[in-house]
Order: sequence, then structure tokens, then C-alpha cells
Amino acid sequence: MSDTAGSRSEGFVDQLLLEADLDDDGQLRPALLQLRALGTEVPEPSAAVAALLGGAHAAGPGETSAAPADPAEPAAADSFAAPVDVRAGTTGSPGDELAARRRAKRRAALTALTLGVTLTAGGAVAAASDQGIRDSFTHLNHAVTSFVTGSGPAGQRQAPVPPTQPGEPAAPAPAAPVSPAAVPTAPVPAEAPAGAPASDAPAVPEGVPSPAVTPGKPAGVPAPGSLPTAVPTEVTDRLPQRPQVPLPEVPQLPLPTTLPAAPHQ
Amino acid sequence: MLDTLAQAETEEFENTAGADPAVLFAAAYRSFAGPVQGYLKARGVDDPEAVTQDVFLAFYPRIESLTGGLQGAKSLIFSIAHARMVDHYRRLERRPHLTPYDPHDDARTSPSAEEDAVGITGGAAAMLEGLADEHQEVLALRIVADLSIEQVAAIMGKSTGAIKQLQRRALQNLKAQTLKRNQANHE
Repeated sequence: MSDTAGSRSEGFVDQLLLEADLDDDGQLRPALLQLRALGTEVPEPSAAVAALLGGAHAAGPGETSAAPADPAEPAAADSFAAPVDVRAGTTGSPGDELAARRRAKRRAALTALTLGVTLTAGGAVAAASDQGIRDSFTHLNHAVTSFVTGSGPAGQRQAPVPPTQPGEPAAPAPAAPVSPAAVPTAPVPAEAPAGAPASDAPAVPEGVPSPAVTPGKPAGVPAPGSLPTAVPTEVTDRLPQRPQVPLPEVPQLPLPTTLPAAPHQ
Repeated sequence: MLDTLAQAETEEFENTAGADPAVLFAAAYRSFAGPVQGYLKARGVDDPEAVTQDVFLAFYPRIESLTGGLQGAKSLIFSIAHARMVDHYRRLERRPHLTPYDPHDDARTSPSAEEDAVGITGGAAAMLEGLADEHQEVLALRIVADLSIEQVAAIMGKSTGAIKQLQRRALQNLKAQTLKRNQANHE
């Protein structure tokens, strides 16, 4: 029988060498035969494998000689019980490391994801609770607000001044509190333009007490020509007293009534 | 003897998909335990006998979902053995490097009697050393495990053409290596 096995191995090796175009070689062939002889030695089964094999040997003859399924036979029952026990032990043991590695990979990915989310949330909370960051956000907000509102009235800064000026020569004094320099602190620059009562003309008196309305005033100010020059009295009554600017007396220069006669000659 | 037994049993279980798992397991062990151990030896796995037992213990729970009789079992068993071999080398990579062997510190100048005694199988196991990893794998699966080109391709995750090419180059390299060794032995 070993001759048959040997001849089969030789046939296999010859076939292999033929496939690789190395059939005329005299040194590789014994090496390959030696390599193939590695698989001839059957190892002794370990205890667990022997238990499985024992179950198989007990079940094997029962299946081949007698009826395949004979529940009355106690040997068959024992033989089936043994593999089940061993199988349970096998699945509980380390088993396939490849599957364990895949599970570990999935677990590592989940852990990394959880850690990342936690760190992000923690960082966000810490950043939100930090006073410096909050201040910087406030600064940024201020900067954006001042840019948006500052650039809006900046172009129209010239517009409010001429309408208030022409009627009253004493306007420079009250114009100081109304001046758009104080406007950037207005908290609602965006809402004002919609409700600006520009057509009602007395935007100037209303803008003085409430700074919230003042940003709307420049947006709604029409061209200087369309503005009414006369301010209603009921509005002007509510205005705070304007500071009385002492105007200097016009010096009365004594003009000579009669011109001196010029010497014509 | 083993080859003929394996062949006979393979033919016997050719169309027995619903065979008793225990009987199939016993037949698989008788037929493939030797080649599995030889394959693990050729690939340089530590303690190939214990790993062989592990392979069969991992194979047993999968018998019920097995198709293709003993040929299917053979493919599955060597897939498991291949995975164990890969596990072994990955574990080896993670292991810290020990102090390498320095021949100058070794007073022995000739091989011992034990080495002579086990020289036959030891030499065969070390025969593939020096070849590329894929070449070793193809030769071990083809020659020691006696798998077909298609089965080797399935286990290694390559096409059959690639396996044929690998096998040819592996044999050429093995030939060159054997020639070199023989010359060194004669000198």
C-alpha cells in the first residue's frame, strides 16, 4: 500500500514539475518528495479531539451495522452526548482567533467613536464656560454689529445733517446728542429700517429720546428737498430744552452819517 | 497508505452532504490530520501538533453547515489551518525580539547526533526557508496539503492564474536554493 502511496506522490510531483517546465531536473524531485512526506505522519489526537473521535467511533459502527437511528440503544445516546459536551467546551474556548480579532476591531472602532464624541462634547462645554472665550465672542459680535451698523449710517451720515440744518441756525448744539456717533450702540439695527416712519418727517425729534429709533432714521431719510422744513409745535414742545447758546451781540458800529467830503480838487 | 486511505474516503464521502457529523469528523481527522500537521511544520509554526488539534476542534462545530463531503471538509480545514498560521506570524510580529543567536559564542562545531536523527524531517521542514512568504505558502498548500490549484486560490484569496504563476516561480526559486544547499553540503 505504501508503494501505491509512494507512486501517487511521485506522480503528483512529476505532474507538478511538468506544469512548471522543470521536468528534467534531478535535484528538485527528491526535495519535493521529501517535502510531501511531511504530511504522512498522523499526530496523536488530543483529549478533546479523542473525545470527538470516540463519539464518532461509537456512532460509526452503530450507523453502518445496525439501523441508523435506534433510540433504544444506550451506546448511541452516549455517543451523541459526548460530542455535544465537547462542542460546548470548544466554543467557549479561545477558538478562532480571526473572529475574535474582527470583534476586537469592531469594539475598538466603537470605543474610538464614543471617545471622540465625548471629547467633542466636553470641549464644547469647556469652551462655552470659559469667560475669555465668551468675551471674545462678545467682541466678535460687537465687531460684526459695529461693522454692519457702522457701514450703513456711515454713507448716510451726511444725509441727516442737511435737513436739520437749513431751518435753524442754532442746530449745531442739539445735533451733538443726535449725531450718528452714538448710534452704533443701538441693539436692534436690523429691525429699525422696516418700521422707520420716514414719511412722517418728525424723525428728528423722535430720534432724540430713544436711541433705538435713530438707526432707522438715516435709512428712511428722503432727499433733502422732500423734507418739510416746519416742525409741528406739539413735537417741539416735548423736546428737551435746548441749551441757550449766548449769541454775541452784534457790535453797533457807529457809522458816519455824512461822508466827509472828499477833496475833489 | 495514508494517501490511498484519504482518496478512498474522499470518494466515499463524495455525495454525503447529510452524513453524520461525528463520522465525517473521524474520516476527516484520519485523512487530513497528517497533511495539516505537515503544512504547519513546513510553514514553521510553533508546536504544529497542538495547532493541528486546535484546527480540528475549530472544524467540528462547522461540520453541520458543510457542503461537498470530504473535499469540502479539506478546503475548510486548510482554511482554518491557514488562518492559524497567519495568526501565528502576527503574534510573532507583536512579540518582542530576543537576543539573536551568535554562532561565534557557540562552541559546537559539528551537528549533534540528535540533529542527525531528526535531520530528515527537520530538513524537509526547513526546506522552504529562504523563499518568499507567498512561495512558501503555495508550495506548502500544493505539495504538503495536496490541494488543487482552485482550492489554494480560494484559501489565499487569489486567482488560479496567479497561483499557477506563483507556483512556477516558487519551484524555480526552490530549485536554485536546493542546488545551492547541495553544493554547500558537498564542499
